[in-house]
Amino acid sequence: MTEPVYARKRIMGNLPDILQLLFTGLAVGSIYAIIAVGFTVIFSSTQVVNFAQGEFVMIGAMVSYWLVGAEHGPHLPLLLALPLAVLAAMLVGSALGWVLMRPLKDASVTSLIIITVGASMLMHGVASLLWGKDPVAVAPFSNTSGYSLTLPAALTGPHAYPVYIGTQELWVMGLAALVVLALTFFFNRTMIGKAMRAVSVNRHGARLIGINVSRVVVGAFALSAAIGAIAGAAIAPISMASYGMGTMLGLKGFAAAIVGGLGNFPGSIIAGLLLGIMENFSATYLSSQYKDAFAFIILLGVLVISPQGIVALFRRRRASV
Amino acid sequence: MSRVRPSPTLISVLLGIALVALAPCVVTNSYALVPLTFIAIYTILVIGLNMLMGYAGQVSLGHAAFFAIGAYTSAILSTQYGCSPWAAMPAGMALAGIVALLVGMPCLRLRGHYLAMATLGFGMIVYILLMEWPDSPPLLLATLGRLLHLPASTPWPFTGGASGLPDIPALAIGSFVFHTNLQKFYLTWAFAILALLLCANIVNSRVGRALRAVHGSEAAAATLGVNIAAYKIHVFVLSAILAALAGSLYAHAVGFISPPTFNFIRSVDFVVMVVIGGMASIWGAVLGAGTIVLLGNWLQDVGAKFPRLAEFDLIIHSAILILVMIFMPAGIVCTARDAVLRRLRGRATAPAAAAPAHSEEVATP
Repeated sequence: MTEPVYARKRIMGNLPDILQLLFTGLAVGSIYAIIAVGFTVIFSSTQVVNFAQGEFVMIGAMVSYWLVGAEHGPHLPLLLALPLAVLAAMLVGSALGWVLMRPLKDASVTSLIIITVGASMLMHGVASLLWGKDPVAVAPFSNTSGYSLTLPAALTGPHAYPVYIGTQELWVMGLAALVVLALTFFFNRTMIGKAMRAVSVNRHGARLIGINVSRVVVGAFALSAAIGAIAGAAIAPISMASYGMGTMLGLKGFAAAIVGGLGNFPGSIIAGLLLGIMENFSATYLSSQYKDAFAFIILLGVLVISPQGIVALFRRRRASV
Repeated sequence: MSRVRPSPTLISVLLGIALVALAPCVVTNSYALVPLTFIAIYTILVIGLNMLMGYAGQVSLGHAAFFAIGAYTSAILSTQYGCSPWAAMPAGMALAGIVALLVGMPCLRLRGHYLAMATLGFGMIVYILLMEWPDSPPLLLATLGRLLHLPASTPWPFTGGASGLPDIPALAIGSFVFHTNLQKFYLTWAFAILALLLCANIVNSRVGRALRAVHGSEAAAATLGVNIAAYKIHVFVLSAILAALAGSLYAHAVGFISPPTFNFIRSVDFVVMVVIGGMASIWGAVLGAGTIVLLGNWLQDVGAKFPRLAEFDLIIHSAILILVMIFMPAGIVCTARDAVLRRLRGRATAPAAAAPAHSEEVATP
């Protein structure tokens, strides 16, 4: 009982702390959000929950690290390495989509889920062989490390710390926003995007009007892998990169996708951002050891209360009023 | 068919008992019995998971968590609270059953694969709890203690964190302790055969027919008045209880437990075991558990000579998983059996066609 009161006192007294947590939480949250969007892209066109999504993130991080900073790597400039990393992930993603083509026609969803879990473990194992098991530090995108933002003393009291705005966090948020904008354009304005939406609404209908469903499915996997790889490359300078980073990030993005309502595009973005912020606050004010558990507790809670996601919960409320 | 024939289950069980009883005559090296003991332990878990995946059509990606609940309840009660292992074992099973009911109920009432997601999250939570517990007893317990005005020195259960829990007592009947590898081998296989018998009976009973109907077509089963959600929940709870039993046996047989035994990859391994044995095939569980345990052992042996190769085990497991799932979705046992049956039937139905071919073959050399 004493815990929340204590927390409230600290929150009232520490505006810079809150802003700081909000800022870093938003950065991590935008990563969760775009990973969740990756899940959504595949789920809506195939009904498959792709448990290998986190590995695309890992591929993006590790390949871009290897191309830019690794000791025996080619030391490419970031502007060249980033598209190459995305391309590598897209290749792996298309391969996974292609492998899933045959079981997609007749196998149960159970088998499909198991295959993606297997694919995830496979990438995990291959990555540990290629790049070793030690986490590596990755250089940030730009040289300026960040800005200190001092709030007016009237708001915070005399001895407040400034809020630190990290450049890489800004990069992360910018890239996430860019991904969301690009996807919105892709799904609403381009022919392939519209075809993907058609397949997600009705696969047989889409085939009837001449859409190549197989190509759309492989395309969805490639697109989703690209999104994941961008997330990985962007977060690596903040969190370090390792062969195993994809599991936890993928699972958290996945939690965000469920919390937002599986297959719900704006829902998963909102849920991802919220999850990042909540995780940051709970780590500071409740318990830092259990930081990684909060996302899953929220996931379980949402599954119990409203399995269609929080957005559906609000929609239902509104409909009943 | 008026003659009373022994049921196939009975024959299989008797055959199984005979095999287990005779195995130590063939495997004389006592160290070689250790992997066989592990096969028995995993078989118990895999049968439950097999029924869940095969009959209820649901995947659990967190069964290592139920395995952990059984192992840790047994270990904590018997080392820290002076409980008899025989009392600790059902306590862990009951706890796992209750937790499974709480996790499964909301998910299994819905269509779709929410259970896979919920169990995955649940597995992660349990793993993190096991790792982080010693530094800070979970908030919930600490708050509870403060609410009830318990002293700060309340003996909260202790998980040992990353370094694990050592010195778990072995199971014993009276003064007879199951101590040697051979004794543990017989003990675990006794449990495994009981579990196999139990599940074979469930599958062959009215409940089993309902489950198979659900497996065939949920809509049709529902039309016939089968309460699908209830059956799915029952199977999930049963699988969790069996997992906890396996965990408890593991803790008492090995004597030491630590979190890496219960991580996400282990949950996936259990799924691989089910898939290899074939979903909805109880006896496949033994084969699935056997394949993965022996494969792991073999990789370890090879790894001792070629250290690079030991890193391939994850790749090999996942490759098996993917290949079996794509090319033999019914599992190795059923696919092999069907192939043999087809071959036999083909020979029986087409003797006329086969005969000249055969004579021709004889004539040519």
